Amino acid sequence: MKPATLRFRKSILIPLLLFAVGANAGPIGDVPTEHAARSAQRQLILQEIQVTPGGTIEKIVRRHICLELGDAIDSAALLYAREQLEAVVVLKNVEMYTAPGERPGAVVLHVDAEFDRDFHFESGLGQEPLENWYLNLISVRRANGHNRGGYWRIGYHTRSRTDGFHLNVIHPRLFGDYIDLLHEAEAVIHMWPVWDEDRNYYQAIHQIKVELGLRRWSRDDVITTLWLGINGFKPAKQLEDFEIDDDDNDEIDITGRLVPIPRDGEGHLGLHLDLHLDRSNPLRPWREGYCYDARFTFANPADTDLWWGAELDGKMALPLRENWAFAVRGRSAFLRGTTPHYLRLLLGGPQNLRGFKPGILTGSRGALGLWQINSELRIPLRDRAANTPRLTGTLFLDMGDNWRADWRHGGFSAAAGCGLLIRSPWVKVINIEVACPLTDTEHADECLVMLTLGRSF
Amino acid sequence: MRHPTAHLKRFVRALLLTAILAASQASANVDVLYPYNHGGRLCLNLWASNLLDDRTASTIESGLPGTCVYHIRLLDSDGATVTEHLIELSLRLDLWENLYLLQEEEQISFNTLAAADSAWSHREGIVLCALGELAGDAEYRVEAQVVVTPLAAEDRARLSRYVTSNSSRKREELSLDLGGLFGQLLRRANSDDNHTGFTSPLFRIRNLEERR
Repeated sequence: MKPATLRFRKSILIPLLLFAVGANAGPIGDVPTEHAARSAQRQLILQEIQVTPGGTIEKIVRRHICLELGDAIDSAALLYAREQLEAVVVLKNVEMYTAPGERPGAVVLHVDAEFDRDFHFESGLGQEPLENWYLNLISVRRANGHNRGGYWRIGYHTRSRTDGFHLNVIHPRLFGDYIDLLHEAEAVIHMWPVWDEDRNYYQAIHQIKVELGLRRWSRDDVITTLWLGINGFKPAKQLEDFEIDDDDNDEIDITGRLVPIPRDGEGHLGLHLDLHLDRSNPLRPWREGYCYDARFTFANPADTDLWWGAELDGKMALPLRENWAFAVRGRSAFLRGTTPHYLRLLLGGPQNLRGFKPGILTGSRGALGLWQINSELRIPLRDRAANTPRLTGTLFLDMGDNWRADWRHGGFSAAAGCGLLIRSPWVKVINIEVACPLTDTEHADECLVMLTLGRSF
Repeated sequence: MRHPTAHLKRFVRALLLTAILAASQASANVDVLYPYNHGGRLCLNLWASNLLDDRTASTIESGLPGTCVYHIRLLDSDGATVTEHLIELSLRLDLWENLYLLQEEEQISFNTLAAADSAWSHREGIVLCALGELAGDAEYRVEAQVVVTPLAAEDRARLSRYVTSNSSRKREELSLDLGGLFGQLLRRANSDDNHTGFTSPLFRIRNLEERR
């Protein structure tokens, strides 16, 4: 690694790494499987990875394979690695076999793969923090023609009240082996929640976004992405009642009491810098390792002052006895300047602060600062020795606080609950959680049941 | 420090492996199926050949398992499945004990890969069903297919391969590859019509040889 790059990373990441003192439970991959734990002296060690064919496919495989030279491996670890490679959408027919290495116990892994040049028509479900579930009605995906490992995907998403087009294009290694060019375009309608005493409204926010990104992968698991783009917004001038059917058309004009009176068109030139550091055990991310995200945002609106903000999000999991794990997440964020209310921070909701509806803790105008801590005990119940147990029980305690416009204190909130993580061959992991608020919060339910895709954090 | 004979054993093993591979250029297949009556049960002896392709043999030599799965079906004269049986065998080399371990319900060890290959190619006394469940005058036949793979057995045709999850800062998404899924279902339907395994001649239960 170049010294200048190292200095830069240190300056950004040291505050994050301090948060992780004690989190590293040994080199990742030391205890990837039951076999390795059982016979520490008789491990098979990955000596070399050979990829056929070479060229771009080799680079893609080496970038995405969740194994490193020196890792203890077994059959389950290799099958998991193959599954992960098959999930790289530009590859197909991924095959793996091994050969003896130069010394007893050393293994050479051979990987064969092909470019997937087929058109793929997809449908499915998705989940976003605010609008919750949506239906990916149809999308089309295909690898780029120039065989650099890139692909494009265009899709139409719809929800109960909002919908929109999404287009993503990814050009890997445009400027070298570890730099990707990304395009993302969206034309969507978001649904911003607005609370007024006992009523719940939403404000439709029409958004058009075109962004260009440069993503840099480094060998030490840090992914840096710089986004530059144009965002245009058109907030609706009426609030619609959340509970009323579409036919009833129960709308109220925005007077500035609940949310600011919208202008005809709003938009900004935006710059985001994302840093992602992942030191999770690739085979058991739920149990070992840590992961950090940092995002710095600068926006230059057409007719108001510049606004900016930062967000830090750290997660770590600590292995406990009998395959249990304790996981904790800390998130902190702030915004400065004239940020539009619909781009402010949100607190509450699944995968955020459980036990509360999405955004309810930060109110109708969002927050300018917040912190939150999620803690969770993960207890495998079925297929307990597997890398991903078939059934995992969770007990959790979440808490957080926020500061709204003019830095008015939003109030401390906490909730506790339990959940079940169910590994299904079809939908991977689904998460059912029940959480009850421990603090008095306006508009909050006594108890909330949440269904999400994947772990909460 | 390694035992001085370890290198020699390794060399001999490599020679044997080369010999086995040279003799097994064809793909794995079942050659003989012999059904018989054993104590009122329909039993089967099975001989297969060419189970060790070069990738599986290499994987076994490196200390990781190779897996052999026999899929055996008892069919009536119309081709309908009466009962089916799945046998999964795992073969690996214990590099530290220098033994080949064949794992089914229990583990058997062998000194050479050739002996282990012979053992998983020849299966005796596979119980298919009780004879009382079958009609004595009806005609039946047995069909068997064999698949050998490096590493663990896995249903590579499983439908969940067509489900992908995409995660980002903003959304978590689960997508179903419609083309891949329907293509796979179509291929499965076609393959059901065109069995490629080895099939025994038709036999009647009352004509079966009785063995003690």
